[in-house]
Amino acid sequence: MGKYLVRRCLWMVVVLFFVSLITFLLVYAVPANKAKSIAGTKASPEVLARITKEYGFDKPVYEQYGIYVWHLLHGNLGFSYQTQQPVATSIWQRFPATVMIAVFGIFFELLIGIPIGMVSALRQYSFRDRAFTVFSLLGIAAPSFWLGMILMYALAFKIHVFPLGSYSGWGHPWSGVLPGLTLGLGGAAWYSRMLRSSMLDILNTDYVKAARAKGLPERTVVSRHILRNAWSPIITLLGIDVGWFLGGVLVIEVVFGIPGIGQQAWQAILNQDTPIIMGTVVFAAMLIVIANLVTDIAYTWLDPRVKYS
Amino acid sequence: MRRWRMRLGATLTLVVALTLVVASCGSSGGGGGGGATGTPQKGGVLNVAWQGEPSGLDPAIQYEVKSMGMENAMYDTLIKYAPAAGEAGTKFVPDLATEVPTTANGGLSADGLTYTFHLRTDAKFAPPVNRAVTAEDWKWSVERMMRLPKAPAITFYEGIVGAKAYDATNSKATEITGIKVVDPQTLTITLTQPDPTFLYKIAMNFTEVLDKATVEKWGNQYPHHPLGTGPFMFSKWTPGQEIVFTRNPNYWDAGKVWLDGVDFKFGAGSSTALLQLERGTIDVLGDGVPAADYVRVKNDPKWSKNLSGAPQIAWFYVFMNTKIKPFDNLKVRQAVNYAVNSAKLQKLLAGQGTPLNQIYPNGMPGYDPAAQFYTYDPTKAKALLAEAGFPNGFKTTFYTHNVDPFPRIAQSLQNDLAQVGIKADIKVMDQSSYWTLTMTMGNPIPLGLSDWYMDFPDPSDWVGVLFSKAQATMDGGENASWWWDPQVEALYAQSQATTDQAKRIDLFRQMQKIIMDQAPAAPLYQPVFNTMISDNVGGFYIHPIWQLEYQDYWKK
Repeated sequence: MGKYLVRRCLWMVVVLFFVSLITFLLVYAVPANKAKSIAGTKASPEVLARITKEYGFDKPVYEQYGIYVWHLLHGNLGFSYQTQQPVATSIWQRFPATVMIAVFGIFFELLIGIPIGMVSALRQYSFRDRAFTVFSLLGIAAPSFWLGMILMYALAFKIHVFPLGSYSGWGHPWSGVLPGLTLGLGGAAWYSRMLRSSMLDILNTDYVKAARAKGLPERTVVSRHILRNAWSPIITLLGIDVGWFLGGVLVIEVVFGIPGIGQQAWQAILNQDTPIIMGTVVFAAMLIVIANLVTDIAYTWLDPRVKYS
Repeated sequence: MRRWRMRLGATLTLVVALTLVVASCGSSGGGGGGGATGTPQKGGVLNVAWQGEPSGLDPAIQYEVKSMGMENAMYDTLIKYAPAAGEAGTKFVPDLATEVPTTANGGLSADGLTYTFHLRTDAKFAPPVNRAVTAEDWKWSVERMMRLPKAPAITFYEGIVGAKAYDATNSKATEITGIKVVDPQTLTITLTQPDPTFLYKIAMNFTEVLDKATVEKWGNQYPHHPLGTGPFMFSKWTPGQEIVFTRNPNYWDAGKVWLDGVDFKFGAGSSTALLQLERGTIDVLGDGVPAADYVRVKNDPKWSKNLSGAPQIAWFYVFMNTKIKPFDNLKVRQAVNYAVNSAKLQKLLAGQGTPLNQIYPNGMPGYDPAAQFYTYDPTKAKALLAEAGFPNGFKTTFYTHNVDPFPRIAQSLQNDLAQVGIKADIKVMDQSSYWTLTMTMGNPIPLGLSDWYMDFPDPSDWVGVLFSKAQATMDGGENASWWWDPQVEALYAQSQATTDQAKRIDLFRQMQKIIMDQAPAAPLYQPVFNTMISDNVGGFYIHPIWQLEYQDYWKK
């Protein structure tokens, strides 16, 4: 296990290296004039030359990337071209808002998706199963910005249950509930479908039949023998979602006015603010890689048959 | 000035806005009030929604309508634009100076080269600095701006004696010699040659006065810790959430400031902001009413009276690259002008624009209300194409960027061109790349969409930028048609050598006639800024330069 972890950590470094390299090359390949993006279209050739020299845009791409990696290895993500703020500071300032949506999103995904998946599997082809299937298909099909607007209009504008598109920080977690619910409804549809099919695969296995034949209570059969073995795809989805949500959920952030790193990255792309783009992508990639690692470790805890060496 | 720096997130906003049309059918809200009427009263905080936050509040650097309006509320310079809507708002009034310099009052020398400004004695920096503003402060602020790598507008001030030598790379100059501090309350500015637009440049945000000690204290973090002398002072900035301004107790004209503060709230898309306004948590929509909601709000008797709209001194147009065939052919360019279906475009814009058949928008000196160069006439367009040797039309590529309303307009124009036989494939690019490409010499764009918003209300900001030889013969130029005309150049030179405004307007109209006859561009429309206020706002108007003049509004 120890060797496995070391190997995975080394692979993380390799993945992050390639993510940063590809992102850097993509940003570099965009035919936009970065000096003009910084100084504006009115800038004189002298100003543009000054900026080009100061920011090193005149250096070859490999040299620019080398400088970036060198700074990265020293924990320096650079400074935003637009705000002059350190990139790390900018990301950390925005991260709590993104974490809030992610936490609520995952909470609602599990809260809604797991019971629905269980009921659908245990009552296959019943009215409830069919109704939940329709719900799941709607949840998967509905675009999150549309769902968000509808929920906000109904629950924040018409009925004043939730704050209307205003984030007030972790001190007021109520403002994260509606964005989380929007994320959660879409995600719950996936979770319920995955859990349903996973449980259905297990329901007819010999060890479940044996457990029932032994006269174990149904609750015990479901919780100890079915659910425990059906968790794997849910854990996989969870791992993907944690990394994905923490990397910023742009559309939800825009609809609900959440100042998360998704919005920041979007603005940075429009402004060609390379350090922020790079910082956000590398940070998001790191979160996804870590979430995947944690997921793999969680498999061993849930299923003793899984061994890494 | 390009609009693109003001449009962060507009694409997503449009998608969200279209959704809201469905979601908000049958919506209701409060009623009454709003507008410019009523008796001003002190107190209250104005809540203003903007989707994106400004990148900073350093007037030497930030050049977007959002930050310029905020800076105008917390900084002063020597003179400013009058606090009024429409054309009245393009006139000058004194700010830190005691009067606007003219030849008559002795503020401008007879040769038009030297301006003298006398500063007020009661102007002070906001707390905690609390000291009086001097002529040295203004000189230092301008000299700082001229050497900032990111300052976008230093070319505006290079006409001051010694300015070019001062801002040159590796310059050893210690000052701009043309700016002289005569005494703490008097300064003179000497130009290398008369500049009829110089006072416009002085009234811009780039020359607003900063406190040297505060700037040095914060270094490159200053844009997030600004301090000025204006009606409001900076209080708090929560990244991505809000910027809070409070009343500046040291402001020299405090009696005319009604609000206790302004709270700029960021993050929500413009459709969400509209809901917040209808709910009563927002007072003014900084980004304006979303295009998709405009008709609904306009037809809603409860909210239509809270709408305010004003044409912006700007234009949207199609440029034709005269270096690429067949747009090197005058008749083809004229045919494109005749092919534009302005009435259809107006329907598409639904209140977001007004028709424009000339290069100068309404509000810009030189605008001619009687001018009608081209009207929609597809038959004439086809005839011109036939005369040009294209009886069956031709194929071309129509470039645009991907931010609303550009793609919508491009589709409409694609249809118009097809009606006369021009089969245009639309090529959509991201904004940054698009503008860079349009400004690259020898670029492959035959036909493209563009817009231009004024830097100051003088037609030299149109002809000198969009149709000049200088901009057509340099890489990075704004003349996307790469067209220029010796006659226009001669008339332009004349216009810049005189301060007789009537004569200048006549010259600029002559230039317009030549430009429209040669048709390097096809005017489309003049954009309209439509915004909405809550019932609690008084004294509201849209300023032609700053759009929102926070210091003039009050809460009911």
